[in-house]
Amino acid sequence: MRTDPEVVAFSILGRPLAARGAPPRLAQWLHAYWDYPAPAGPGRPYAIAIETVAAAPAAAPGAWTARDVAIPGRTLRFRNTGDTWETGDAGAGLRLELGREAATIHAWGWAEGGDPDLYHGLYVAVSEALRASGLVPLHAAVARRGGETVAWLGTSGVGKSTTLLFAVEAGWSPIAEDLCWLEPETLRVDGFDRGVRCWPETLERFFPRWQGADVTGDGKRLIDYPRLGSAAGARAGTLSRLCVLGRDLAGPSRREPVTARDVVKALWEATGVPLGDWTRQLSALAVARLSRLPVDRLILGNTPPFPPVSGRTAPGQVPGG
Amino acid sequence: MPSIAETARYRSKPSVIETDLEAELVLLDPETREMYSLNAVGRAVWRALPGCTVAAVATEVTRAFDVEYGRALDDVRRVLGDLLATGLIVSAGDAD
Repeated sequence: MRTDPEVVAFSILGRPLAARGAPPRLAQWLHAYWDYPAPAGPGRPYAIAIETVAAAPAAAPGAWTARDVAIPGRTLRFRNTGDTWETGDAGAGLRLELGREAATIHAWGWAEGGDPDLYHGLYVAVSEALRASGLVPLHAAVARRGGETVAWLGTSGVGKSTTLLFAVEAGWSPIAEDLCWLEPETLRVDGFDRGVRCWPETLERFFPRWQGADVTGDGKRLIDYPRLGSAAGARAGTLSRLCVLGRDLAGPSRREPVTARDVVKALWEATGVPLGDWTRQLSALAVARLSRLPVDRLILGNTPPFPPVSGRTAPGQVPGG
Repeated sequence: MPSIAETARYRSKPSVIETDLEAELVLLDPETREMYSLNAVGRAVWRALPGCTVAAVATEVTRAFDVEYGRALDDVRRVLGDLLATGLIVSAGDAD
Protein backbone atom coordinates (compact mmCIF):
# COMPACT_ATOMS: atom_id res chain seq x y z
CA MET A 1 0.00 0.00 0.00
CA ARG A 2 1.38 3.47 -0.92
CA THR A 3 0.41 6.45 1.19
CA ASP A 4 2.21 9.45 -0.32
CA PRO A 5 -0.07 12.42 -1.04
CA GLU A 6 0.09 12.13 -4.83
CA VAL A 7 -0.84 8.49 -5.34
CA VAL A 8 -3.11 6.28 -3.29
CA ALA A 9 -3.00 2.64 -4.32
CA PHE A 10 -4.49 -0.45 -2.73
CA SER A 11 -6.69 -3.38 -3.57
CA ILE A 12 -10.44 -3.61 -2.97
CA LEU A 13 -11.30 -7.30 -2.78
CA GLY A 14 -8.62 -8.05 -5.32
CA ARG A 15 -9.53 -5.14 -7.61
CA PRO A 16 -6.66 -2.63 -7.83
CA LEU A 17 -7.60 0.97 -7.06
CA ALA A 18 -5.26 3.88 -7.81
CA ALA A 19 -5.99 7.55 -7.14
CA ARG A 20 -3.65 10.15 -8.60
CA GLY A 21 -3.44 13.70 -7.34
CA ALA A 22 -5.79 13.04 -4.44
CA PRO A 23 -5.81 15.83 -1.86
CA PRO A 24 -5.13 14.62 1.71
CA ARG A 25 -8.75 14.55 2.79
CA LEU A 26 -9.75 12.47 -0.22
CA ALA A 27 -6.81 10.13 0.39
CA GLN A 28 -7.88 9.70 4.02
CA TRP A 29 -11.46 9.05 2.94
CA LEU A 30 -10.39 6.38 0.45
CA HIS A 31 -8.38 4.54 3.09
CA ALA A 32 -11.14 4.84 5.69
CA TYR A 33 -13.96 3.54 3.51
CA TRP A 34 -12.30 1.24 0.99
CA ASP A 35 -8.91 0.06 2.23
CA TYR A 36 -9.53 -3.26 3.99
CA PRO A 37 -7.26 -6.27 4.29
CA ALA A 38 -7.38 -8.31 1.11
CA PRO A 39 -9.41 -11.53 1.30
CA ALA A 40 -7.86 -14.93 0.81
CA GLY A 41 -9.79 -15.57 -2.40
CA PRO A 42 -8.60 -14.85 -5.94
CA GLY A 43 -8.78 -11.27 -7.18
CA ARG A 44 -9.97 -9.98 -10.49
CA PRO A 45 -7.99 -7.62 -12.71
CA TYR A 46 -10.69 -4.95 -12.79
CA ALA A 47 -8.86 -1.65 -12.35
CA ILE A 48 -10.47 1.38 -10.73
CA ALA A 49 -8.67 4.64 -11.45
CA ILE A 50 -9.47 7.95 -9.77
CA GLU A 51 -8.01 10.98 -11.50
CA THR A 52 -8.17 14.30 -9.67
CA VAL A 53 -8.27 16.99 -12.34
CA ALA A 54 -8.41 20.78 -12.26
CA ALA A 55 -11.63 21.24 -14.23
CA ALA A 56 -14.58 19.25 -15.47
CA PRO A 57 -13.76 17.13 -18.54
CA ALA A 58 -15.33 18.08 -21.84
CA ALA A 59 -18.96 17.07 -22.10
CA ALA A 60 -19.38 13.54 -23.36
CA PRO A 61 -21.46 13.24 -26.52
CA GLY A 62 -24.95 11.81 -26.39
CA ALA A 63 -28.24 12.58 -24.71
CA TRP A 64 -27.99 12.91 -20.93
CA THR A 65 -30.68 11.70 -18.59
CA ALA A 66 -31.09 12.85 -14.99
CA ARG A 67 -31.39 10.19 -12.34
CA ASP A 68 -31.99 10.64 -8.61
CA VAL A 69 -30.15 8.14 -6.46
CA ALA A 70 -31.54 7.60 -2.97
CA ILE A 71 -28.96 6.81 -0.31
CA PRO A 72 -29.50 6.80 3.45
CA GLY A 73 -30.40 10.31 4.55
CA ARG A 74 -30.24 12.06 1.19
CA THR A 75 -30.88 11.95 -2.52
CA LEU A 76 -28.10 12.53 -5.04
CA ARG A 77 -28.74 13.84 -8.53
CA PHE A 78 -26.79 11.96 -11.20
CA ARG A 79 -27.00 12.30 -14.98
CA ASN A 80 -25.88 9.72 -17.46
CA THR A 81 -25.36 8.85 -21.05
CA GLY A 82 -24.51 5.26 -21.89
CA ASP A 83 -22.05 3.95 -19.29
CA THR A 84 -20.94 7.44 -18.24
CA TRP A 85 -22.31 8.99 -15.06
CA GLU A 86 -21.80 12.42 -13.55
CA THR A 87 -22.79 14.26 -10.42
CA GLY A 88 -21.97 17.76 -9.20
CA ASP A 89 -21.54 20.82 -11.42
CA ALA A 90 -18.88 22.67 -13.36
CA GLY A 91 -17.27 23.85 -10.13
CA ALA A 92 -16.95 20.49 -8.39
CA GLY A 93 -18.09 17.02 -9.29
CA LEU A 94 -17.14 13.63 -10.59
CA ARG A 95 -17.57 11.56 -13.72
CA LEU A 96 -17.65 7.77 -13.71
CA GLU A 97 -16.84 5.95 -16.94
CA LEU A 98 -17.63 2.26 -16.65
CA GLY A 99 -15.98 -0.35 -18.84
CA ARG A 100 -16.09 -4.13 -18.83
CA GLU A 101 -12.49 -4.42 -17.61
CA ALA A 102 -11.86 -1.08 -15.88
CA ALA A 103 -13.52 2.03 -14.53
CA THR A 104 -12.26 5.60 -14.45
CA ILE A 105 -13.49 8.30 -12.11
CA HIS A 106 -12.56 11.92 -12.84
CA ALA A 107 -12.93 14.25 -9.86
CA TRP A 108 -12.69 18.03 -10.13
CA GLY A 109 -13.00 20.88 -7.66
CA TRP A 110 -12.40 18.70 -4.59
CA ALA A 111 -11.09 21.44 -2.33
CA GLU A 112 -10.37 20.60 1.29
CA GLY A 113 -13.58 20.65 3.30
CA GLY A 114 -15.62 20.26 0.14
CA ASP A 115 -19.25 19.34 -0.36
CA PRO A 116 -20.19 16.15 1.54
CA ASP A 117 -22.42 15.17 -1.36
CA LEU A 118 -19.29 14.72 -3.48
CA TYR A 119 -18.05 12.06 -1.11
CA HIS A 120 -21.45 10.35 -1.12
CA GLY A 121 -21.34 10.52 -4.91
CA LEU A 122 -17.85 9.02 -4.94
CA TYR A 123 -19.03 6.22 -2.68
CA VAL A 124 -21.81 5.45 -5.17
CA ALA A 125 -19.31 5.62 -8.05
CA VAL A 126 -16.76 3.25 -6.47
CA SER A 127 -19.59 0.90 -5.51
CA GLU A 128 -20.83 0.93 -9.10
CA ALA A 129 -17.32 0.14 -10.33
CA LEU A 130 -17.17 -2.82 -7.97
CA ARG A 131 -20.58 -3.93 -9.22
CA ALA A 132 -19.24 -3.72 -12.78
CA SER A 133 -16.36 -5.96 -11.69
CA GLY A 134 -18.81 -8.70 -10.77
CA LEU A 135 -19.64 -8.04 -7.12
CA VAL A 136 -22.89 -7.12 -5.41
CA PRO A 137 -23.00 -5.31 -2.06
CA LEU A 138 -25.07 -6.98 0.63
CA HIS A 139 -26.04 -4.93 3.66
CA ALA A 140 -26.52 -7.67 6.21
CA ALA A 141 -25.06 -9.19 9.33
CA VAL A 142 -23.32 -12.41 8.38
CA ALA A 143 -21.73 -15.20 10.40
CA ARG A 144 -20.62 -18.74 9.83
CA ARG A 145 -20.23 -21.91 11.81
CA GLY A 146 -19.11 -25.21 10.41
CA GLY A 147 -20.45 -25.48 6.89
CA GLU A 148 -23.23 -22.94 7.35
CA THR A 149 -23.09 -19.21 6.59
CA VAL A 150 -26.13 -17.12 7.48
CA ALA A 151 -27.09 -13.58 6.47
CA TRP A 152 -29.52 -11.65 8.67
CA LEU A 153 -31.37 -9.07 6.60
CA GLY A 154 -33.32 -6.07 7.77
CA THR A 155 -33.63 -2.33 7.72
CA SER A 156 -31.28 -0.12 9.68
CA GLY A 157 -31.98 -0.33 13.40
CA VAL A 158 -33.96 -3.58 13.29
CA GLY A 159 -31.34 -5.47 15.32
CA LYS A 160 -28.80 -6.99 12.92
CA SER A 161 -25.83 -6.13 15.16
CA THR A 162 -27.51 -7.46 18.29
CA THR A 163 -28.45 -10.69 16.56
CA LEU A 164 -24.90 -11.06 15.29
CA LEU A 165 -23.50 -10.63 18.79
CA PHE A 166 -25.89 -13.29 20.09
CA ALA A 167 -24.66 -15.58 17.33
CA VAL A 168 -21.03 -14.85 18.23
CA GLU A 169 -21.79 -15.65 21.86
CA ALA A 170 -23.23 -18.95 20.62
CA GLY A 171 -20.00 -19.86 18.83
CA TRP A 172 -20.51 -18.37 15.36
CA SER A 173 -17.68 -16.49 13.63
CA PRO A 174 -18.62 -12.99 12.47
CA ILE A 175 -18.13 -12.16 8.80
CA ALA A 176 -19.90 -8.80 8.60
CA GLU A 177 -22.00 -6.60 10.83
CA ASP A 178 -23.39 -4.33 8.12
CA LEU A 179 -21.73 -4.82 4.74
CA CYS A 180 -20.22 -7.60 2.71
CA TRP A 181 -19.62 -8.05 -1.01
CA LEU A 182 -21.16 -11.02 -2.75
CA GLU A 183 -20.13 -13.02 -5.81
CA PRO A 184 -23.51 -13.95 -7.33
CA GLU A 185 -22.23 -17.04 -9.14
CA THR A 186 -20.74 -18.69 -6.07
CA LEU A 187 -22.59 -16.88 -3.24
CA ARG A 188 -19.22 -16.19 -1.63
CA VAL A 189 -19.34 -13.20 0.71
CA ASP A 190 -16.43 -11.17 2.03
CA GLY A 191 -16.95 -9.01 5.09
CA PHE A 192 -16.30 -5.32 4.45
CA ASP A 193 -16.47 -3.53 7.76
CA ARG A 194 -14.26 -3.22 10.80
CA GLY A 195 -16.29 -4.59 13.68
CA VAL A 196 -19.67 -4.79 15.37
CA ARG A 197 -21.23 -1.47 16.35
CA CYS A 198 -23.81 -1.56 19.10
CA TRP A 199 -25.62 0.95 21.29
CA PRO A 200 -24.22 1.12 24.86
CA GLU A 201 -27.57 0.20 26.40
CA THR A 202 -27.72 -2.98 24.30
CA LEU A 203 -24.27 -3.97 25.49
CA GLU A 204 -25.19 -3.19 29.08
CA ARG A 205 -28.31 -5.35 28.87
CA PHE A 206 -27.08 -8.34 26.91
CA PHE A 207 -23.28 -8.21 26.52
CA PRO A 208 -21.79 -6.45 29.54
CA ARG A 209 -18.29 -7.73 28.86
CA TRP A 210 -18.13 -5.49 25.78
CA GLN A 211 -19.21 -2.28 27.50
CA GLY A 212 -15.69 -0.91 27.45
CA ALA A 213 -15.41 -1.03 23.65
CA ASP A 214 -14.39 2.10 21.73
CA VAL A 215 -16.98 4.81 21.16
CA THR A 216 -17.72 5.73 17.53
CA GLY A 217 -18.80 9.09 16.15
CA ASP A 218 -22.49 8.23 16.39
CA GLY A 219 -22.28 7.16 20.04
CA LYS A 220 -22.23 3.43 19.37
CA ARG A 221 -19.52 1.12 20.67
CA LEU A 222 -17.26 -0.61 18.16
CA ILE A 223 -16.09 -4.12 19.00
CA ASP A 224 -13.51 -4.81 16.34
CA TYR A 225 -13.28 -8.25 14.78
CA PRO A 226 -9.95 -9.32 16.30
CA ARG A 227 -11.50 -8.85 19.74
CA LEU A 228 -14.33 -11.11 18.62
CA GLY A 229 -11.77 -13.71 17.64
CA SER A 230 -12.15 -13.28 13.89
CA ALA A 231 -9.06 -12.70 11.75
CA ALA A 232 -9.36 -10.54 8.63
CA GLY A 233 -8.65 -13.37 6.20
CA ALA A 234 -11.27 -15.56 7.86
CA ARG A 235 -14.15 -13.17 7.29
CA ALA A 236 -15.55 -14.92 4.25
CA GLY A 237 -18.00 -17.71 3.59
CA THR A 238 -20.50 -19.16 1.14
CA LEU A 239 -24.04 -18.15 1.99
CA SER A 240 -26.27 -21.11 2.78
CA ARG A 241 -29.20 -19.55 4.65
CA LEU A 242 -31.05 -16.25 5.05
CA CYS A 243 -33.02 -14.81 7.92
CA VAL A 244 -35.24 -11.74 7.52
CA LEU A 245 -35.38 -9.77 10.74
CA GLY A 246 -38.43 -7.99 12.08
CA ARG A 247 -39.17 -6.24 15.34
CA ASP A 248 -42.06 -6.46 17.81
CA LEU A 249 -41.09 -5.44 21.32
CA ALA A 250 -44.59 -6.21 22.64
CA GLY A 251 -43.89 -9.94 22.66
CA PRO A 252 -41.09 -12.49 22.92
CA SER A 253 -38.64 -13.10 20.13
CA ARG A 254 -39.99 -15.74 17.77
CA ARG A 255 -39.64 -17.34 14.36
CA GLU A 256 -42.18 -17.02 11.59
CA PRO A 257 -42.45 -18.14 7.99
CA VAL A 258 -41.78 -15.49 5.38
CA THR A 259 -43.19 -15.08 1.89
CA ALA A 260 -40.99 -15.20 -1.20
CA ARG A 261 -42.11 -11.68 -2.02
CA ASP A 262 -40.94 -10.37 1.36
CA VAL A 263 -37.61 -12.13 0.92
CA VAL A 264 -37.11 -10.49 -2.46
CA LYS A 265 -38.01 -7.11 -0.99
CA ALA A 266 -35.50 -7.58 1.84
CA LEU A 267 -32.84 -8.68 -0.63
CA TRP A 268 -33.33 -5.65 -2.88
CA GLU A 269 -33.17 -3.40 0.16
CA ALA A 270 -29.96 -5.16 1.19
CA THR A 271 -28.31 -4.99 -2.23
CA GLY A 272 -29.53 -1.54 -3.29
CA VAL A 273 -30.32 -0.45 -6.80
CA PRO A 274 -27.34 -0.06 -9.12
CA LEU A 275 -26.94 2.86 -11.50
CA GLY A 276 -26.54 1.00 -14.76
CA ASP A 277 -28.53 -1.55 -16.72
CA TRP A 278 -25.94 -4.35 -16.78
CA THR A 279 -24.95 -3.94 -13.14
CA ARG A 280 -28.67 -4.11 -12.43
CA GLN A 281 -28.82 -7.45 -14.23
CA LEU A 282 -26.05 -8.76 -11.99
CA SER A 283 -27.96 -7.66 -8.91
CA ALA A 284 -31.11 -9.30 -10.25
CA LEU A 285 -29.15 -12.55 -10.67
CA ALA A 286 -27.88 -12.26 -7.11
CA VAL A 287 -31.35 -11.62 -5.71
CA ALA A 288 -32.84 -14.52 -7.68
CA ARG A 289 -30.11 -16.92 -6.50
CA LEU A 290 -30.24 -15.78 -2.89
CA SER A 291 -34.02 -16.03 -2.80
CA ARG A 292 -33.73 -19.79 -3.36
CA LEU A 293 -31.76 -20.35 -0.15
CA PRO A 294 -33.51 -21.66 2.97
CA VAL A 295 -35.01 -18.68 4.75
CA ASP A 296 -37.17 -17.76 7.70
CA ARG A 297 -38.14 -14.63 9.62
CA LEU A 298 -36.91 -13.85 13.11
CA ILE A 299 -39.04 -11.34 15.00
CA LEU A 300 -36.92 -9.63 17.64
CA GLY A 301 -38.99 -9.05 20.75
CA ASN A 302 -38.46 -8.45 24.43
CA THR A 303 -36.51 -11.67 25.00
CA PRO A 304 -33.08 -12.66 23.65
CA PRO A 305 -33.30 -13.63 19.98
CA PHE A 306 -32.16 -17.13 20.50
CA PRO A 307 -31.39 -19.33 18.78
CA PRO A 308 -30.14 -16.84 16.17
CA VAL A 309 -30.26 -19.66 13.63
CA SER A 310 -33.16 -22.08 13.45
CA GLY A 311 -32.69 -25.77 14.06
CA ARG A 312 -29.36 -25.52 15.83
CA THR A 313 -30.16 -24.91 19.46
CA ALA A 314 -33.07 -25.79 21.68
CA PRO A 315 -35.80 -23.10 21.65
CA GLY A 316 -35.62 -20.82 24.63
CA GLN A 317 -32.01 -21.62 25.43
CA VAL A 318 -30.17 -18.49 26.50
CA PRO A 319 -26.62 -17.90 25.27
CA GLY A 320 -24.21 -19.11 27.89
CA GLY A 321 -27.07 -20.57 29.88
CA MET B 1 -59.68 1.70 -15.11
CA PRO B 2 -58.71 3.14 -18.51
CA SER B 3 -60.17 1.53 -21.60
CA ILE B 4 -57.66 -0.81 -23.19
CA ALA B 5 -58.14 -1.26 -26.91
CA GLU B 6 -57.08 -4.45 -28.67
CA THR B 7 -54.94 -2.35 -31.01
CA ALA B 8 -53.07 -0.59 -28.19
CA ARG B 9 -49.44 -1.26 -27.39
CA TYR B 10 -47.73 -0.85 -24.04
CA ARG B 11 -44.16 -1.04 -22.85
CA SER B 12 -42.60 -1.56 -19.47
CA LYS B 13 -40.86 1.28 -17.68
CA PRO B 14 -37.14 0.73 -18.40
CA SER B 15 -36.03 1.06 -14.80
CA VAL B 16 -38.26 -1.76 -13.52
CA ILE B 17 -36.27 -4.67 -12.08
CA GLU B 18 -37.50 -8.25 -12.44
CA THR B 19 -36.86 -11.14 -10.10
CA ASP B 20 -38.13 -14.46 -11.43
CA LEU B 21 -39.09 -16.83 -8.62
CA GLU B 22 -40.62 -19.37 -11.00
CA ALA B 23 -43.91 -19.45 -9.09
CA GLU B 24 -44.21 -15.68 -9.47
CA LEU B 25 -42.47 -12.78 -11.14
CA VAL B 26 -41.63 -9.97 -8.73
CA LEU B 27 -41.25 -6.46 -10.15
CA LEU B 28 -39.49 -3.66 -8.30
CA ASP B 29 -39.89 -0.02 -9.24
CA PRO B 30 -36.61 1.48 -8.00
CA GLU B 31 -38.03 5.01 -8.08
CA THR B 32 -40.91 4.31 -5.72
CA ARG B 33 -39.33 1.25 -4.02
CA GLU B 34 -42.69 -0.48 -4.46
CA MET B 35 -42.85 -4.16 -5.35
CA TYR B 36 -45.45 -6.08 -7.30
CA SER B 37 -45.99 -9.79 -7.88
CA LEU B 38 -47.29 -11.31 -11.09
CA ASN B 39 -48.75 -14.81 -11.29
CA ALA B 40 -48.33 -17.10 -14.26
CA VAL B 41 -50.81 -15.18 -16.45
CA GLY B 42 -49.31 -11.86 -15.39
CA ARG B 43 -45.85 -13.15 -16.24
CA ALA B 44 -47.03 -14.23 -19.69
CA VAL B 45 -48.54 -10.80 -20.29
CA TRP B 46 -45.39 -9.05 -19.08
CA ARG B 47 -43.15 -11.19 -21.28
CA ALA B 48 -45.35 -10.73 -24.36
CA LEU B 49 -45.63 -6.94 -24.08
CA PRO B 50 -42.60 -5.73 -26.07
CA GLY B 51 -43.76 -4.77 -29.53
CA CYS B 52 -47.11 -6.54 -29.28
CA THR B 53 -50.66 -5.23 -29.43
CA VAL B 54 -53.09 -6.14 -26.71
CA ALA B 55 -54.73 -8.55 -29.14
CA ALA B 56 -51.40 -10.26 -29.78
CA VAL B 57 -50.75 -10.55 -26.06
CA ALA B 58 -54.20 -12.10 -25.59
CA THR B 59 -53.47 -14.54 -28.39
CA GLU B 60 -50.25 -15.53 -26.62
CA VAL B 61 -52.18 -16.08 -23.38
CA THR B 62 -54.75 -18.13 -25.30
CA ARG B 63 -51.98 -20.37 -26.61
CA ALA B 64 -50.09 -20.65 -23.31
CA PHE B 65 -53.09 -21.39 -21.08
CA ASP B 66 -55.48 -23.08 -23.47
CA VAL B 67 -58.33 -20.64 -22.84
CA GLU B 68 -60.76 -18.92 -25.20
CA TYR B 69 -59.67 -15.64 -26.71
CA GLY B 70 -62.43 -13.62 -25.01
CA ARG B 71 -61.45 -14.83 -21.56
CA ALA B 72 -57.77 -14.30 -22.30
CA LEU B 73 -58.49 -10.75 -23.46
CA ASP B 74 -60.36 -10.03 -20.22
CA ASP B 75 -57.41 -11.33 -18.19
CA VAL B 76 -54.92 -9.34 -20.24
CA ARG B 77 -56.95 -6.15 -19.81
CA ARG B 78 -57.13 -6.75 -16.06
CA VAL B 79 -53.39 -7.26 -15.76
CA LEU B 80 -52.59 -4.27 -17.96
CA GLY B 81 -55.00 -2.12 -15.98
CA ASP B 82 -53.18 -3.02 -12.77
CA LEU B 83 -49.77 -2.42 -14.34
CA LEU B 84 -50.90 0.96 -15.71
CA ALA B 85 -52.29 1.96 -12.33
CA THR B 86 -48.98 1.18 -10.66
CA GLY B 87 -46.96 2.95 -13.33
CA LEU B 88 -44.98 -0.13 -14.32
CA ILE B 89 -46.04 0.19 -17.96
CA VAL B 90 -46.86 3.13 -20.18
CA SER B 91 -48.67 3.48 -23.49
CA ALA B 92 -46.58 2.83 -26.57
CA GLY B 93 -49.29 3.95 -29.01
CA ASP B 94 -51.68 2.11 -31.28
CA ALA B 95 -51.07 -0.33 -34.09
CA ASP B 96 -51.58 1.21 -37.51
